[in-house]
This record gives sequence, C-alpha cells and structure tokens, in this order.
Amino acid sequence: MKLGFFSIDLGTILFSWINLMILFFALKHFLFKPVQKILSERQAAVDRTLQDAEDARTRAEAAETEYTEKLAKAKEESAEMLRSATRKAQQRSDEIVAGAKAEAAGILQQNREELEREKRRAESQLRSDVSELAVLVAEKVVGREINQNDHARLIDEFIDSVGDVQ
Amino acid sequence: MDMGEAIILAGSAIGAGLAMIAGIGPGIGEGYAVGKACEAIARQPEASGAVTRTMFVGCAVAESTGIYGLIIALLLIFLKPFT
Amino acid sequence: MAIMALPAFLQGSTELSVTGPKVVTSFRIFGLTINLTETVLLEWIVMAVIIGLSIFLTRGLKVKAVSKRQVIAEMAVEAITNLVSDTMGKRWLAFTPYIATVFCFSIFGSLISLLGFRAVTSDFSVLLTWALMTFILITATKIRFGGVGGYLKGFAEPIPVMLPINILSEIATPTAMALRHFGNIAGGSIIMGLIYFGLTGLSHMLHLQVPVLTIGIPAVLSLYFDLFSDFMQAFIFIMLTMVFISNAGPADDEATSAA
Repeated sequence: MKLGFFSIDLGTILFSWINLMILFFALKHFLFKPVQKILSERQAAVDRTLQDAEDARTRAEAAETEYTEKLAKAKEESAEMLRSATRKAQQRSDEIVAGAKAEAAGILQQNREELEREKRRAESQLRSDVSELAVLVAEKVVGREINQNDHARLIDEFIDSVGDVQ
Repeated sequence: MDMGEAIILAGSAIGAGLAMIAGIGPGIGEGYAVGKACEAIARQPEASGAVTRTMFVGCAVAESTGIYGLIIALLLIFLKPFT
Repeated sequence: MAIMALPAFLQGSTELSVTGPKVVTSFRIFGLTINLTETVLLEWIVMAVIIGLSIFLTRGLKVKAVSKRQVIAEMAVEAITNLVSDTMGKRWLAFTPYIATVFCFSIFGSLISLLGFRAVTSDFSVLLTWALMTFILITATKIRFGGVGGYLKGFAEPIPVMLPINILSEIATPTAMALRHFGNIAGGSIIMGLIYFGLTGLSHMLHLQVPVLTIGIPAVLSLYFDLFSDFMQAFIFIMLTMVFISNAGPADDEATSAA
C-alpha cells in the first residue's frame, strides 16, 4: 500500500516530530555540548596565555624602567665623581702652581736681597777705598799729611756732589 | 476511453500548461533581484557575502510561486485528480 | 522477449509512477490509524548517520593538538553558531542546536535520494511537521515577549478589520515554508524520474536493450536538482525559521544585544 503523492499523514507527522526532537537532543548532547566545552576551554586557555603575556610584559617594562633609572643614576654618579676628581685635581694643581710660584718669588726675593746686600757692601767698600785713595792722593799732591779725620767729611761731600754711584 | 474522460485529460493537460505560466513571474523577479545584487556587489564588493546570502533567500522566496505552479501542473498530469 | 531475460535493474525505469511513500505497517490507537511509512524508516537511517557522524567527529576532543576530525566538528559548530548570531542576534544563540538539527535533517534527508531511496523531504508530512514546529516556536516567542494578551492583540493590528488577513498570513507562514521545500525536492525528483524514463525510452527506440543513455547524462542534471536544490532549500528553510522567530521577538533586539 502506498500513500498519495501529496498526502498529509498523521503517523508520519507524529513520528517525524518525535524524530526531530530525538535528533535535536542528540545533536545538542553529542555535538554541541562537547565542542562548545572544548571551545570555551580553549578560549580560557588563550585568555590565560594572553594574561600571562601581559603580566610578563608589565614585569619586563617595570624591570626596564628600573634598569634605566639605575643606569641613569650610575651615569650621574660617575659624572659627579669625575667632576669632583677634576675639581680636586684642578685645586691641587693650582695649589702646586701657587706654591711653586711663591717659592720662586721667595727665592728671587732672597737673591735680590743678597744682591742688594752685596752691592751695599761693595759700595761701602768702594767708598772707603775711594776716600782712602783720595786722602793718599791728596797727601801725595799736597805733600803733607792731612789729618784724615778732618778731611773725611770733605771727601764724602765731594763724592756726594759727584753723583750718586747707585 | 469515453469522451468525458478524454475531455478531462485534455483539460488537465491544458491546465498544467497554463499553471506553468506561473514560471514567468519568478523568472522576471529573480532576474531583477540578481541584477540588483550584481549592482550592489559592484558598488560594495566587501558586502558580497551578505548580499549573496540575502539574494538567495529572496530568490527562493520569489521562486515559491513558480514552485506552486509546478506542483499544480504535476498534480494535474500525474495524479489526474478529476478523473 | 529479450528484455524479459534481463534483470529488472538493468531494464531502466520502464514505468513512471508518482506516488507517496510506502506504508510499512499500520496500527490503530484510540480509533486513529497510525501509519509507519517508508519515510520514517529513512528518517531513522538519516538520524543514525547524523548522530554517528557527530559522535565520530567529537571523539577524543582535545584543547591542544587537534585532529582533523575535531577541526571539522569545530568548524561546523562555529559556522552554524555564526550564522545564527548574524541572522538572529546574540540573544537567540540558544536556538543554534535546533537550527543545526533542521539543517542536517533536511540536507541528509534530501541527499539520501542520491542512494536510490525516496528523499525524506519529498514527503509533505515531514516538512509540514518541521514548519509546524517553526510555527510553534514563533507563537511561543510572541507569547513569551508579549504575553497571551499581547499575542491575541497582535492579530487586530494595525486595525481590527485586518483580523482575517492576519490569521491567514499566520497560517500561510508554515504552509508556504513546507510547500516551498516540498515542491522543490519533490518536483526535482519527479523531473529526474521523467529524465530517467525518457532516456530509457530513447534507448529502447535506438534498439539498445540496456538503457546506456541513462548512464552519466542524468548526473549533470542531478547536480542542480539534487545537490544544489537540496542545499539551497535546507538553507532557506533554516533562514526563514530564524528570521521569523527573531522577528517574533521585540523589535529593539539589535539595540539591546549591541549594548
């Protein structure tokens, strides 16, 4: 027995509805539930990985900042050290140069004073020699002894009038 | 085959042919829809997926009148409901 | 007669008959005749194939290092989920398994005709069942969002005179859906039957005892009438189901789901 080509059959409708429901629950249970579970698990894993990467990046950035700061501080310190060392060295060299100059000036002064002293001595020596010589010459010229003590004053005056030897 | 049955068969065949005139409407309509879809894709190629999908659904809906005509024609020819 | 000596399956289609499914057995419950038809048996085969396939594909699912089977299962689930969320919106995702069920049932039920069986979807009762299910879901959605009063009031809008037309359009929705699917598949199968019948007759006219013309030539037409048409009708059936159900809900669906 065959149904018509365009028939509406109650039995087929009933069975088809039951079959549709069975297939619906079967697909939901056998296909959708496991696959969606896996997909959400994978999503969670991906989220976790991303979170980890984000954390690692944050940590790396913090470390980088720290290192940069430390490096900057170290540079600052070394520059400071260099500056202070330079300053000290400069000071030191200034001191040394100043000392050397002072010493040189002292030596010069000393030499000058000595020279002056020598000159004075030589001058006075010369003066006494000249006066003696003058008296001697005058004795010879005059022919008589001139009282040396009387005429010493005259000779000195003469020398002074001739000009300052200095 | 008596005369009455012959007239019914002839009428069924003519009726089936007339029912297939229903194919004109979907033909024109679908052609118009596809032409418009082509224009839309040419204007916005990035929307081609959505346009194609919508066009197919629209074509199928438009085609249903033609299908109704086809069903009537098939019924008249093969099932001969009036004999 | 030489033809009689050939086995039946080598004679080609020598008769053209357009009938419904065979009744395997029938029994009476509460005075109603319940027929167990060929269609229902084929439905069981289709269900067994679909369920077996889904169990096979989802065996040994892993989060990492997925197998090809798992990739196919995930792609199928994601594709149907994306289709539902694109067409209906995110808040209707609970309908995904039902949509997938109807789609698979329709596809496999139509493609079973390629194996020589009657297509499940060329039985109008099956499609009427599915369309009625859609109708029930539409009505349930309307009542869920508008209440029973809102649902009944919807028939008298925009003006009470529209009442008969609204009732008619409400009935026309599942009828048109079922008729469209049925007409395409059944019409396609009749046309394919006609082609086989005609090619067999042509072979006999050319005095070929074995109808060799029916080899190969119908396959090209079968590409459209079976494969393409089956996929399109299954797709359109679920598209219409989704559109009707989501339209039965509140209109501000997009706004609330986007927020």
